[in-house]
Amino acid sequence: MTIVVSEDDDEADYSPFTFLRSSAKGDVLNVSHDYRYQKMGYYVSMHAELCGNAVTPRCADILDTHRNPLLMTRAARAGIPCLPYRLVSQHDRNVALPALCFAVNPYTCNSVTEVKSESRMVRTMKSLSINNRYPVSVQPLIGDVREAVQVFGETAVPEARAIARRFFEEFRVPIGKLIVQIVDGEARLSHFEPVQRREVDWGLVRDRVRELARAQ
Amino acid sequence: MKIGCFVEKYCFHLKDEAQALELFKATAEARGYGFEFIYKQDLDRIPEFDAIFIRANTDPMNTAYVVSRLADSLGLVVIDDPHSIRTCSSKVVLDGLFKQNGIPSPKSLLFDGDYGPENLEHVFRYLGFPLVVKAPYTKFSSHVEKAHDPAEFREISARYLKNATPIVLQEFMPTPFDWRVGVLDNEVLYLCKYLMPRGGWKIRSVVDGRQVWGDTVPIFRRNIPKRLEQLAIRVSRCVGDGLYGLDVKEVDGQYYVIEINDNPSFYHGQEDAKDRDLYEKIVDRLASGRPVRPGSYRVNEGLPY
Repeated sequence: MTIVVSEDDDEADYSPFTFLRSSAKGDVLNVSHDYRYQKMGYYVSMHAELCGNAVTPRCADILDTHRNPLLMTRAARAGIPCLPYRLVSQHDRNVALPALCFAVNPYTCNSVTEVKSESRMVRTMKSLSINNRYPVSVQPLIGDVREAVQVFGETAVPEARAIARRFFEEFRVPIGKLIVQIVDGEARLSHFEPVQRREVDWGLVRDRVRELARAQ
Repeated sequence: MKIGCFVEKYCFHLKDEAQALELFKATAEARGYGFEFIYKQDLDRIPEFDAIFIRANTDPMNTAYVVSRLADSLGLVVIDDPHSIRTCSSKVVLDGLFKQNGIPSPKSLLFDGDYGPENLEHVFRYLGFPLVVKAPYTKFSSHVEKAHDPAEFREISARYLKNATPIVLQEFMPTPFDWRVGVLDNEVLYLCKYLMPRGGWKIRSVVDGRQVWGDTVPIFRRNIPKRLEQLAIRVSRCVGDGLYGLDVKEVDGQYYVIEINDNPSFYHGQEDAKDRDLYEKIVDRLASGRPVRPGSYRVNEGLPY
């Protein structure tokens, strides 16, 4: 297995940009804190696919996690507890409040917005839809909103551990931030976002990568 | 058979494009199929349709990708399918696709912002000046600029790197026109020459401060040069058996692929001016019940071109 890590790591075979100029053969593990489209983490997986290799994570899975309706549809099908969502493309008085809103536009990556009033909803819709150009995913806000950074299916947030494990089993994205709502003590998935480099426990990442390298 | 055609309001702004959309609708209805334009507020209705035809701009970050992926996950026939959108929307991906498959294309390099003297010397020596700087997300010749010297290269590349890493650098290959080869089901669907506007070097250029488009010269597909046809089919097989538009340069009898686009444009009186059956062929493909089969990225058939 070829290992590509976005941070310095002794177990890594390539840095991301060096990998793009290679013709690696065989399975590829691509470890990055940011897999957004048009970013290096995405292109490493794309290059592995172009070379005809099996890669973790796959580009289709990356994009599914980064587009809220696709994430929610697929996660629900996989049996992951999820909040229902509605796509709204302009302000709609029938949307129940309070609500949790997420952008489905090409520009916003940290868009989690709690909306508790009608006036705030008008402003949020205008902003996240970029003046009604793009849809917005709207979910009921019925629990405590938590952020859980998951690394290979593990997270430090106790209530989100089961979801993190199942998320990784389904989507195989090694690092990312899960937005969950804790409803009656149970976590339900709301969203996924890339993490900041400083939010990642790189020691844990190195341990997991080392274990995977030794297992080969 | 109900076909949903995903559009945005801007798809109807130009008369020729709106007419082409109406011709798709009329063609489908003449064949006894339902054909309905759907918009971003209709995403919940996708399961009502048997096939989805996307005419709004595709990109993995646009609503059109969400539509495509939702339709694909329901097992509907969808053009453009998500695999084709992922492949064709990024010039970085196409650069890798061409290199992995030995597709003739202008010399190119990926650039991640390494402005070290050693790397710059290599870039400038390999590509020469002027060189073409391309953002990965270029559409309709936007975000493609020519750098004539190191200072201009630094200014353009730094601007593009703010939104994407890496970007593509390419040798400048001036030609009076690009071939546009429309492909469906790995067969040539239509053929055009997209002429460069006078004084410009791209199909859409800024000349004397004004944005101008070059003319389109339609040609019967039966007249396509054999080697151009073989090259176009070979490239399309790397991506899938959907609907594509290839841009190809011809220099001294050699063909060089610039890009393969999913979601190719249709303007009534241009792409459809010679082979008018393209509407029937696309509608029949949508109604076939046969989902678009993704290509394998790598095609090692050793076809001549």
